[in-house]
Amino acid sequence: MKILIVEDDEDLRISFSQLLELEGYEPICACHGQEALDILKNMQELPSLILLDLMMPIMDGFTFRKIQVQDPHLSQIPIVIMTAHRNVDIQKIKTGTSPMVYMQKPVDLDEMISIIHHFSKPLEETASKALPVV
Amino acid sequence: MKPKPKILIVEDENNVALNIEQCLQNLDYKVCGIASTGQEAVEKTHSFHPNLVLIDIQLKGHLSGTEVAEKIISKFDIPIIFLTAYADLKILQRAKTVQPFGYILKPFKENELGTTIEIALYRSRHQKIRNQQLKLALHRAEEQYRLLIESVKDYAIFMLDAKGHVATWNSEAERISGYSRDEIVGKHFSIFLTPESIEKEDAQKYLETAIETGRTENEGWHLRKDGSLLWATIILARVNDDHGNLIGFSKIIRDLTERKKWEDRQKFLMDATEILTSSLDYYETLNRVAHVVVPTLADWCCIHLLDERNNIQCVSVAHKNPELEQWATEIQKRYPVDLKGTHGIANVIRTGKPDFCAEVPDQLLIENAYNEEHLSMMRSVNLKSYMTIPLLARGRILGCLSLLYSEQKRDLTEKDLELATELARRAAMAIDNAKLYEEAQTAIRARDEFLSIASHELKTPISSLKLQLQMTQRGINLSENKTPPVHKLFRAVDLSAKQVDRLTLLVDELLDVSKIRSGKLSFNFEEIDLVEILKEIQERFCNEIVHFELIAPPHVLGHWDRFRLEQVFVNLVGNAIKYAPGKPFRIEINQTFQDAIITVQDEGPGIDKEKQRRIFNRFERGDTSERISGLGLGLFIAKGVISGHGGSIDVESELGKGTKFTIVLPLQGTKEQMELAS
Repeated sequence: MKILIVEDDEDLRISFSQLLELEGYEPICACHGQEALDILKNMQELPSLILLDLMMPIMDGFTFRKIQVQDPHLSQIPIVIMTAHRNVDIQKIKTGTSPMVYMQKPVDLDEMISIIHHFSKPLEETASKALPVV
Repeated sequence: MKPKPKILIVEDENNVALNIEQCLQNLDYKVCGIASTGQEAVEKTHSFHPNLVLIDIQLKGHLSGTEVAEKIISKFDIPIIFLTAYADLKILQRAKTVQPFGYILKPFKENELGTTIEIALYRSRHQKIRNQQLKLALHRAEEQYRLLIESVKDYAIFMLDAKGHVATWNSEAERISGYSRDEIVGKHFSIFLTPESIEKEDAQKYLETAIETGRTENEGWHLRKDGSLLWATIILARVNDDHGNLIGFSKIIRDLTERKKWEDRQKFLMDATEILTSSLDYYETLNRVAHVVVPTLADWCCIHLLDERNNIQCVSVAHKNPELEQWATEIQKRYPVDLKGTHGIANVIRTGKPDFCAEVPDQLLIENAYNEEHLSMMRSVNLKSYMTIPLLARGRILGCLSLLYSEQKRDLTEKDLELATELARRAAMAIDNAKLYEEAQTAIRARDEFLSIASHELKTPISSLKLQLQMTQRGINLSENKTPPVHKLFRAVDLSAKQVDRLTLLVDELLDVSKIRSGKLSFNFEEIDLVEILKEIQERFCNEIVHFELIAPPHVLGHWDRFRLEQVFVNLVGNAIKYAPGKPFRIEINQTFQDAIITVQDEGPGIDKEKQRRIFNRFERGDTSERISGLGLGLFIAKGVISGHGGSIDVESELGKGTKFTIVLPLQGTKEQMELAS
């Protein structure tokens, strides 16, 4: 199952990516909102979840979310917003019809896994294959 | 020796008269004359001034005895004694009303006559003394009353007759109304009423109420002799005689004009203050205040404010006539006030001193006109008087409030100026509060923005660090003594260490900011070569995508802090790379006699003018629309560091044309540093 990571910080992108692989998902990475939109346009099978950072160059998470909820093709993809300053950010983010949850930075491994699982269960066999090794 | 009392005999029978004369002489009185008719009696009384008159009650002729007695008593106040042959009841009754001092029946004995005369003279003397005493007492009482009425201040106290005409007058009445006693006595009191009041027939109503209920009281505007208005309370009370018949009215006028004006001023200020405190949008608020000023205080009101670029802006115009208001606004737009002007508004704003003129001379208009058209416009306004008051708050001049009078000239008093000054003070306070609120809001927004950025910046590496550590932790199985493979462990530890370095840098940056804020940023000055530092930085950053050109003499030596200058230039270079990725940039170093001048020029997107003014503030970033990593503290720290070296940092930029930072660094540092070094 595919999960799109939209995060400008390379180190964090690598960490998320490693984690998702471990959990049996197929991570796809974008450095900012525009890149994410480009990737989504060309995808045959849409991701089951998008992990979205808010503050990014070129196109930030707020703009990406605004475009996503207006696009009928993309609007139903659940979004996990990764925010460092929850109170300020919640006021600014465009809410849409698709599910949206906030995950406070610094991200906790167990919390992240449970949220991801809540939206998209990984395939049984890939998960079991991937689990034992870090 | 006591003179003999003089007695006049009024007797028509001559022998009787002579007989009486004989008796009186025997009794040692002086007979000053004998009158045989009433007319003669009156004449002789007038000529001789007798002490007593003996009158035959049955006098023949034109005047009877009692009539003569009445005349003598009322005219000369001389005691009389009646003589009569018989006591007719009717005559006696009549005689009693004259109040004679004695009554003697003929024929009488000599000693009887003597006794009656002595008693009459005694009683008469006694009564005269008593009358004099009473008269004196009455005079005193009247004088006291007069003094009381005259000494009362602020109260006009006087009498009206039964028809409402002024009968008496006091000096305060003259002062308050302007009418002298001669002018007003006999005039109807409606002379004090305003035309509106007369139209309502108030005068008649007041009199009727006073007649019916005993008194009436009212408060309102009245007219003075000169036509000016007087605010007064009036008490009109009915005055009766002893039998309860109306004989007139007492009227008391209390002059409350000053109090009324004070109350009106207070009410005006309260209304204005309510408006001023009703909103924090001061443009709207000032506009409303201008419209309260007109027409209560002035025919025309303008409010000018000094903007951030020190231009004078007319923010509000109100005119009594709404059509002229539009026109007045037009004039203000067409001929804005120049701060350099030497008159009126510009002068008030520059000096902070009020300007007022009770009678505007044409010369003033000529001096202030920009051109012929402006002059004719100003003349058509028909400006008579004006006041311009500075708007001052916390020692700063924010602008000014102008009140103009176009219909008729105003005698601008201290009170008018006081009121306008108080209004200006309150308006300035409201503007200041609104500005402070706006600044506070901006600061809060900047702080929230900064918190958001700082949280993000700090939490991003913490996220990576935490995930790496948690993933590694999960890979370790203690019971089976298993660890992840070494290459994975190395990767996790390496990435973690990198996050710790990133965090350290951010925390250092935050600490620097707090040190600069508290003035505790410390420097370690030593002799260093600036060119060497920049060459190192160039080497560090230069790669295939960064084109970093350095133009410098071989060496530029100065007394500086190596670590801090490195920090500044790394930040500037970092900014150039961040904001203008892939575009070349250039650092040029020049040395003058005293300073090193360093310019950092990029070909990035540029910074707009508004932003340039704030770029060295805390929490400001060149670009907020798209995220550029960093806390936005770099330039604030740079300015702190350069200032600490006694130098300066400035920015020049234009949108789309890149940005140039210019740093001037004194070679020998600040005076303090030199002193410290020596």
